[in-house]
Amino acid sequence: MAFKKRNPPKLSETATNNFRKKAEEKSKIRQEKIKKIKKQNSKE
Amino acid sequence: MYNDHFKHFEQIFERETGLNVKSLNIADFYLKNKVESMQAISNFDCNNGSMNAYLRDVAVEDALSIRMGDEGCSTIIVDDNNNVYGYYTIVPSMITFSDDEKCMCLHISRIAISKDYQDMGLGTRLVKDIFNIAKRVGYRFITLDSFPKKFGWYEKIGFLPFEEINIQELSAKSDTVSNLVYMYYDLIDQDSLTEYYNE
Repeated sequence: MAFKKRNPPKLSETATNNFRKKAEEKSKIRQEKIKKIKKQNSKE
Repeated sequence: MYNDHFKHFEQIFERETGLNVKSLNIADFYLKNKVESMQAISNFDCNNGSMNAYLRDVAVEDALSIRMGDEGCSTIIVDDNNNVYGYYTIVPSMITFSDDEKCMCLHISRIAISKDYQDMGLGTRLVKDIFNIAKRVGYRFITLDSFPKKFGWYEKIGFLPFEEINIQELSAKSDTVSNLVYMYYDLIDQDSLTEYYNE
């Protein structure tokens, strides 16, 4: 018999902080890259 | 768009694995082939009784009921002779933070490859397919519960554990539900940034 999926666990405070920090850093890098590309495109 | 996606999937699949297979929603596979498809599904063996049983006993029923089953919707990988190479089941879910805030994600409930086609890159190819689906519907995070013995494989793809883990302790643990490791993949990762913006 296949076992049922467990409900996703609530993250600890440490895991929440780590996750948010990493996610925000990546968002920032992405935004900067997009900004750079837009700037290059506007020059062309 | 859906058909285009699967055509694209077939082409990439063949190029990367040398296998001429296609991915289908499991309900479509069943309705098209009925008895043959049930036979094919019953013959599926990935060396994991739970995964085999889910595909055989639950996945088709869930898909035919036109409601979202608890575990989500299954996609099956087959060739023209109805041989089943693998399947995955995905479901929209939520990451719940310590302050009770939530963030939407796509959860991989199950992913399994037939024992005859393991170690050929099929599993990685299926995960990449799930990433593409997530991108199309705007999910940034993919989550899953990994058994201890599969942890290294998911980590190699780029999944990270939410909670800090001790690798040595983890490797000694058995593959049971109580030992599952909750992991995530961020689609805005460094590789994808490079792939998309430095091409």
